[in-house]
Amino acid sequence: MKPVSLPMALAVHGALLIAAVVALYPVAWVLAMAVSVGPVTGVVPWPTEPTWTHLAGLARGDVAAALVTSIVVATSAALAGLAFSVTAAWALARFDFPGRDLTLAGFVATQTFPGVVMAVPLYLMLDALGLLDRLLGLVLVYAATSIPFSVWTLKGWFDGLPKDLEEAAMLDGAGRFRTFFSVLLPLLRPALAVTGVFCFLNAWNEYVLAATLLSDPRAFTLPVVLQRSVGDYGADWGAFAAGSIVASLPVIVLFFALQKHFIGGLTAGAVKG
Amino acid sequence: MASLSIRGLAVRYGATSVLDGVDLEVADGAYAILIGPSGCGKSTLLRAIAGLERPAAGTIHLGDRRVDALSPQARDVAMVFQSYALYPHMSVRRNLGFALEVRGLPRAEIDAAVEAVADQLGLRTLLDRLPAALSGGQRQRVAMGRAIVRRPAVFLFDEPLSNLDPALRADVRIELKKLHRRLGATFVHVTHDPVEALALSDQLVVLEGGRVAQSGPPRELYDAPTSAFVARFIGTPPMNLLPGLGDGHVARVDGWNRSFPTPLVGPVWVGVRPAECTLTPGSWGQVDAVEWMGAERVVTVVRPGFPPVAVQLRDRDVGIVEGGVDLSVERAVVLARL
Repeated sequence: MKPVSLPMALAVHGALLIAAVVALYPVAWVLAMAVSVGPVTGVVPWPTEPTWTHLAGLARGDVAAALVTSIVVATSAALAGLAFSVTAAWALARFDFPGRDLTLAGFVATQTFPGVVMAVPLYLMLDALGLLDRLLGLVLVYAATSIPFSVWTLKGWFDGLPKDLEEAAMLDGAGRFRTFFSVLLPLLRPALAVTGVFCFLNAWNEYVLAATLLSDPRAFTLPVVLQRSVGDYGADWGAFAAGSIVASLPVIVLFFALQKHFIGGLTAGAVKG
Repeated sequence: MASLSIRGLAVRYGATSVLDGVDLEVADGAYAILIGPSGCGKSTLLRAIAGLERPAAGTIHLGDRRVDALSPQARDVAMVFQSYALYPHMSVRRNLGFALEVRGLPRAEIDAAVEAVADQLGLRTLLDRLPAALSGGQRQRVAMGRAIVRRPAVFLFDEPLSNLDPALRADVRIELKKLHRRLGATFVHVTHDPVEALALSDQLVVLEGGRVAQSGPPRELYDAPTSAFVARFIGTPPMNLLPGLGDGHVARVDGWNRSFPTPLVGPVWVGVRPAECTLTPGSWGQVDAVEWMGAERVVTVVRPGFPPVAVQLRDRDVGIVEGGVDLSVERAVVLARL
């Protein structure tokens, strides 16, 4: 690598510093709001009259319950989405059948529509199935919406696995399912972790569909509850900020824990094979 | 253990015909080697025997069992892949035992079989390692062990030595030969290396363009190839093919006072092994190059209108080879020139 001159290094680091400040400024604002009694004013996001009441208040009924609901919904959606995606990805990567390319193209096509477009049809479908206001309905919706992306990612990984391994397993007497579970899935563990986290976050952060499909406050997920804390007749910004922090924690933890896999996973899925 | 019998086998990829009517008999317990240039269909033939390619026509029998419609799992064949195809997430022990595990054998029986094979192949101390922690040669042995542990009817090897360095390759070649003798099983082995083919096989099968060009004991193919293609393919350096003329009884080569019996009429190839020629001072050709190979010397002789002729001389036999030479040959085969 070429040595970098001092002015160049200063310029680069200066630019990066500015980008970091721009990205983190709103986050700092939320943090300040979460521990302030009144609204935060001024340019520097610093707490006015520090207090723990907002954070302590999260323990009260609806936020805690919504947190549990969100964890259940996002985890179930991730597991269901993965189960469907990994088998579909295997089929699309390994078998040649009529409609294969069309299916893959179709998965990409669905990604071009914003999620809101689906809200009404999904509402009608869940209504017909009797799954409105039921968490199962939401889990199915989230699992389904995560499938196209997951299938594409996982297909990339399958493409990167040597076919010899499957053939060796077949000659060793293993059937398709045995090969899949004993040979392929263990090798895809990093891919499953990365894709699973994507599915989880897809469900965890989702607001529009949850707000549309759920009307029973007992079934609300965390984003819906947070939004409701900012009402028509007044906004409890402190509580909202505290809730936002809690909602962000799992995301931050997952990203840090799997950082290596994320970077490796995204590139490996795309380039390998 | 079983004989292998293939009749009229055809494999096509779309419109491309890869195997086109292959007939092949391999006796029970034989070591057959399939050899041919890239794209001749040798690996495809091996994969068709394994059940990894679906034939468009023809039959495959293992012993008296017809297997061409069976899945790979049901054929009772084991294959050593060129890439070894070891399961990267399984220890050597589990790699070796996987086939038995799939069959649902009791743990103790699997362990005993795995350990017996590990002892045979010197893998005992490596049983708990992952394939990533093995050298190329060790991986190769694990791949062989995985085949042996199952006691299949037929062993298939797809270029098993091509990923090894030359020194190791010679060692493993001997291992393979001993293994074949010990197991007494039918081996079918694909290679593109003529040396490996001659050293290991007791049946040599040369493929050309998706068909069997010639099949038989290696000495037969070496001494009496039936086509110019086989003649050039077996042996290093390859057989010299000199243009000659047949009159229905004998064939002659321009400038030689010897004739070779043949029923062919018109242009023929007179094939001469480089090791079966000797040089004397003379005027038939000129020495063009001398390559010293240690135990031998390969002398290239040129004569206008002829392809260069390679002559293999034992290094200690002769002094300086240069200038004009006459070529005398001990033996030649006369082949059709198409």
